[in-house]
Amino acid sequence: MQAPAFTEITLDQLAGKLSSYKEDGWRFANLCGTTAGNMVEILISFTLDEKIDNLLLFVEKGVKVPAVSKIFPSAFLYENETFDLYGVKFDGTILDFDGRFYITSVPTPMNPHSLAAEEYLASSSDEEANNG
Amino acid sequence: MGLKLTGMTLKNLMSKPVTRRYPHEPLVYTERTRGHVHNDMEKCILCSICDKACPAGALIVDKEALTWTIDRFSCVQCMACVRSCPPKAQRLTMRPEYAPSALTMSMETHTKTEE
Amino acid sequence: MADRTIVPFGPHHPVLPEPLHLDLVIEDERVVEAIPQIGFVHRGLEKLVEKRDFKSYVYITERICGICAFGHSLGYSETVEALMEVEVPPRAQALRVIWHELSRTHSHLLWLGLLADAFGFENLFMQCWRLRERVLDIFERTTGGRVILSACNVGGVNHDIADEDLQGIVLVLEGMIGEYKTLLKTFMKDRSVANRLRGVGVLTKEEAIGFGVVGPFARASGIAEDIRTFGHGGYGLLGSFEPVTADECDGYARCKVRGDEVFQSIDIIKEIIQKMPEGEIMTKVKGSPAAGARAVWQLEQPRGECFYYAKGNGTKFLERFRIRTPTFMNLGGMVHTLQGCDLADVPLNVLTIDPCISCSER
Repeated sequence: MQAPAFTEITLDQLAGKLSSYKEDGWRFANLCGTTAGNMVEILISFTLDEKIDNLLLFVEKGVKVPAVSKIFPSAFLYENETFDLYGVKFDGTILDFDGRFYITSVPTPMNPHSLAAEEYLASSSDEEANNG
Repeated sequence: MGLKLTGMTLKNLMSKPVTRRYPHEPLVYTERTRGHVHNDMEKCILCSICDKACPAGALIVDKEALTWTIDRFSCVQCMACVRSCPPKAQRLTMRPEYAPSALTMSMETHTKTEE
Repeated sequence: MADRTIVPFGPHHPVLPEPLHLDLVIEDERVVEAIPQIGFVHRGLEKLVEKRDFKSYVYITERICGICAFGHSLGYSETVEALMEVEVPPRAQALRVIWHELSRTHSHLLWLGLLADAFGFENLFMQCWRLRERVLDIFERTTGGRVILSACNVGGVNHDIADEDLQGIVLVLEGMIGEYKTLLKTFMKDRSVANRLRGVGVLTKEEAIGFGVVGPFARASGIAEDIRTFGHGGYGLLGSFEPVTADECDGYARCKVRGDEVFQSIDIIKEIIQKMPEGEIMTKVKGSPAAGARAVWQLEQPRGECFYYAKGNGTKFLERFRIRTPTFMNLGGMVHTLQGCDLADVPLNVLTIDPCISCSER
């Protein structure tokens, strides 16, 4: 079995890579986020027969990523999930739940460094300072 | 033609039920059924390896008070403790009978008697 | 222009095995648009990987879903073995395949029962589940549990099966075949069943490729893709393997594909038992995953292709473990098949993808 490939790309290379995978007939497999320090590492995987290709994209706080669901329509669920859990916004996703996909008690629970999580932490510590 | 299940349905009507009339008939356990964890307190050396291996946090071992406590309601019968107990003299075993039902949650403590 | 009404479907509904919400926009009993909503069973199990070390986490992956329980523990173990480059003994790999194929048999029998319940044929539902009990008895005799097996672990399997027990498994499965053929004939040839299944939820081959659907849902539209053809692990012992496909692209085809896959699973189990290698069943795993190591793995679960991703960071806790379940991938295709169908066929359309929502929203 060929070992799966992990390639790191930048934000402007993303659109070109997506169209080339679509033309060659690759199938979209996975889109998930991981917290890496202050940034979020987005992994996008494609498969074709036995080959698996993985793209790694490092995203800073507040940066918007162009939507994958415009080219691969079934990716809209993954984009909503990544926004709810990690705070990474995908621009132009075909069905946008705007943060209400998973109803969590804390905003972006898997990423404590996102903008929403830091706002929440600041507002809750203000409340404690006012009440206490 | 429709109604292909008529044969099996009539046979089911005439034969005795497939289910067991529990609790009037006793439950049938197999040899490997994971029922409850049993500890042989005579041989237990209170090393606490099972305490660290339990993924549900159901075991508490107190070396000074010489007790081994299990919370039967947290135990998920996964056998991680049984596998981690040092194999020379297997003190922890999995017995097939399920733990008896209870109305209140409580911890079950076993004390090691002093020799 | 006819008036449009919005009918909420779920999350509590007698036909759904798990909670799923759909907002159906209907026009005179025909569905025009369907907006899905999931997230009712989200337990945050992917965050728990930061708190349980990688050897204990296998007990949590088993409890993600009740039907695909063994599948997730198998996928997790194989992914971590690929991450840490551990060699699994061949007997353990063969035993894993036997339990996984039995898992597929019981899952398809469960689904056939639910499908019969969805169009009101309760007798057929009960007969399918009665047959499924024999597979659950095999599980209890070999591993100690009916649904949660606790049999797979990183490095091998926990229980061994003696040779006479293996022959006993073959006898039980062969005894099931006669009754199973009667049940399948009812699904395929009975006129009342055919009226409900034919022409319902059509997804053509081009649309299926565009949405990237997986598993029996895709194989019923003519796409012959199955991860078992790659021959990972114990599947390399098989002589030849051809995925089961059908061409009608509707609910009838999906029922046919899953029904025939049960026969195929029984044949696979018999072949593996014949070719069973000798040896140990567990390799001891020392150390922790290296920092910066990544691994991906694919597995063919009863519902389709499941994709796993693991990343290590040098400690005994994994940094990230991602499970992408087949239902998450098929939801897009399901929403597309709902457009244009009758209101009474909505539960059937939802069930034909074999939804396992609790896996999707770990």
